[in-house]
Amino acid sequence: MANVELQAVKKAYGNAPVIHGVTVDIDDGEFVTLVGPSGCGKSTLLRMIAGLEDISGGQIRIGGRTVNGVPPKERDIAMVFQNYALYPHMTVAENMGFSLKLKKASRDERDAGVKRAAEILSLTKLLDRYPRELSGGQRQRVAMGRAIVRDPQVFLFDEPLSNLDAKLRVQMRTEIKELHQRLKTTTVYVTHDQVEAMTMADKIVVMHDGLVEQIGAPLDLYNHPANMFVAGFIGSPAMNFLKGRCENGRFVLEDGSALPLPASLQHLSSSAVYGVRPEHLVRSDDGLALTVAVVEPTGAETQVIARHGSQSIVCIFRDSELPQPGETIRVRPDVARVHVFDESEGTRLS
Amino acid sequence: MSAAISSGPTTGRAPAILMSLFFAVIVLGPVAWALATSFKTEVEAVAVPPTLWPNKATLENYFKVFRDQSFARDFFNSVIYAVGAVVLALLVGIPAGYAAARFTFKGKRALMLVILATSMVPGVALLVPTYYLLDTVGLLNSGIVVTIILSARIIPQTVWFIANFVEAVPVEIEESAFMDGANRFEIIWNLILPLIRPGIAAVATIGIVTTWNDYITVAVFAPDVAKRTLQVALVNQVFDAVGISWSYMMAFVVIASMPVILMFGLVQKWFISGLTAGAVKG
Ligand SMILES: Nc1ncnc2c1ncn2[C@@H]1O[C@H](COP(=O)(O)OP(=O)(O)OP(=O)(O)O)[C@@H](O)[C@H]1O
Ligand SMILES: [Mg+2]
Repeated sequence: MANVELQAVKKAYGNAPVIHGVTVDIDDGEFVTLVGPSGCGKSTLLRMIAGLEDISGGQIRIGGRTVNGVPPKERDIAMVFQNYALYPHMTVAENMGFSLKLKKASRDERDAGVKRAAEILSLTKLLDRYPRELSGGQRQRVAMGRAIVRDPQVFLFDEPLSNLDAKLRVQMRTEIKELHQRLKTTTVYVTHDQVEAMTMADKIVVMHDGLVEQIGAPLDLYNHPANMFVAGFIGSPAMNFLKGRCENGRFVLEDGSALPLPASLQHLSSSAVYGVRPEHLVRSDDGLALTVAVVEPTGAETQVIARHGSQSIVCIFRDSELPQPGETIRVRPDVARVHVFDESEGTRLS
Repeated sequence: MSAAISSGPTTGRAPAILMSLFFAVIVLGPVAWALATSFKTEVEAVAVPPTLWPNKATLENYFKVFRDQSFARDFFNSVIYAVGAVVLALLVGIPAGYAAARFTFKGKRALMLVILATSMVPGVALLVPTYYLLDTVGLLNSGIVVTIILSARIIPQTVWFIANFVEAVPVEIEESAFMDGANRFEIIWNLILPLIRPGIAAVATIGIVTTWNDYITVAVFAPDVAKRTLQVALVNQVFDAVGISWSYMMAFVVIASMPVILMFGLVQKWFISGLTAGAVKG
């Protein structure tokens, strides 16, 4: 096992820069998710750690050793691809044993390694099957088995669950996390699904346009987003943003209605953006008036999409009393969990 | 045809089936005639009016072909040239096609087009200069040189085909193998070759057929009787013989075609899946 350090890592394809200098420290045994919208450079960064892409600038160190220019096979890293990339003409056992075969391990060593991984992943009964004879979840598990067999320093995953249906995705998510708790191998996991990122990670790296927006523990990012991008990306449904001004200890919207500010921000006096998560709005008779547009009950909670003027606001209520479309409801933000962002920079003011 | 019938699910296939039959008759007609004639006696073969079916089938023509002292040697030459040319084409075409599919380098497109263009130069245009060249350096009548020339004719298509087959293999499979610790050679050997095997079978078959059926290359560059192939021997007989025995010739033709037909039969399954490519999804 090893730690992974990225220091001002850059990547350009020809003249087009796609990663503009990323610095991340991943501790030994840590589970880190790289999360961000499509095209932000997650896969590129992961592939640079793997050694499948050249590093255009900066340094990558694995276990203290600088690996810029070191080929993949000498980095002792295993990677699980989105489409699994199993070897179609090899059985499950052969797929998992391929790396050992390349290492010229003896037949017995190979069988033992494959058997151990197969037991961990409950693949023992499928060892003689070919990939085409497996379900998506089973293929996924074989891809992981192939990684486990090698007992590498670092596991890399690139959106490994995105080809699975929703139910299986949740199940495999748990399995991967359990696997990590058991093996304690340093893991870098790429996803664009923030729920996956939140639930699995010890540490989340939020990326946007080739830059790191924020690094932190899941709840850190949820409770203390550094800026509007992170605030909007982490949490589902996304945080509501309202434009207006901080004045006299209150936040005044364009139509003149006012929202409370936390004590620490009451001194502010400037244009700003008010951020409040849907789950932090509660119904209250002296609250902001909203017109209900759509009501989406899911059982445990109800998501209400409502309008305040032209502004759309999403609320989540846990009580069973459902508002009707067209009805006017009044909501009040939980002032302790409100964020205010600088209007031009998007950074959080505190 | 009534509207009710033409809207049925199978009617769309009727014209296709008719067309296939039409072409089958055109292609198979002469083959059937050759086959029938090969079993006729010499007299019946030239009888007027011709008989469709041999009155008295005989294997005499086949025995005669096998008794011919030069037949074995001609057959052997044909096999050596064809197999040698195809093996050589694959030795060149697999690495070249792989490189074309997987590496980016300056001028790749241009290079690939040049390779394709060489196969568009009509073979006859090269006959005289190549003959002159070989004659000057004293390499006429060399089996190796003939094999190389035959191979050169199928190398462009081999490179292009292989490149397409390799492209159909998802690159992540290779990257996965890289991570597993394989080097480029191990990847080609353990993954690419098995995965594109249907494609290799297809190009090899096309190559065998092309070289096996070649007449002009061998006739011109290896005029020596000891170096000739079945095809050359066949044509020589047409011109050399005082009186042509058609039934004997047709037996010869049937035997000469056998290896190619057998080859098709053997690799047919691969051949189809090879040509339709993309058959390598995990
Ligand atoms: N081979 C390449 N040549 C040029 N540009 C590339 C290449 N590969 C990726 N890019 C660009 O680099 C940027 C980052 O791509 P990357 O694949 O890392 O995104 P991602 O965050 O993984 O997105 P997704 O969630 O869609 O997988 C994109 O803008 C992409 O267009
Ligand atoms: Mg990606």
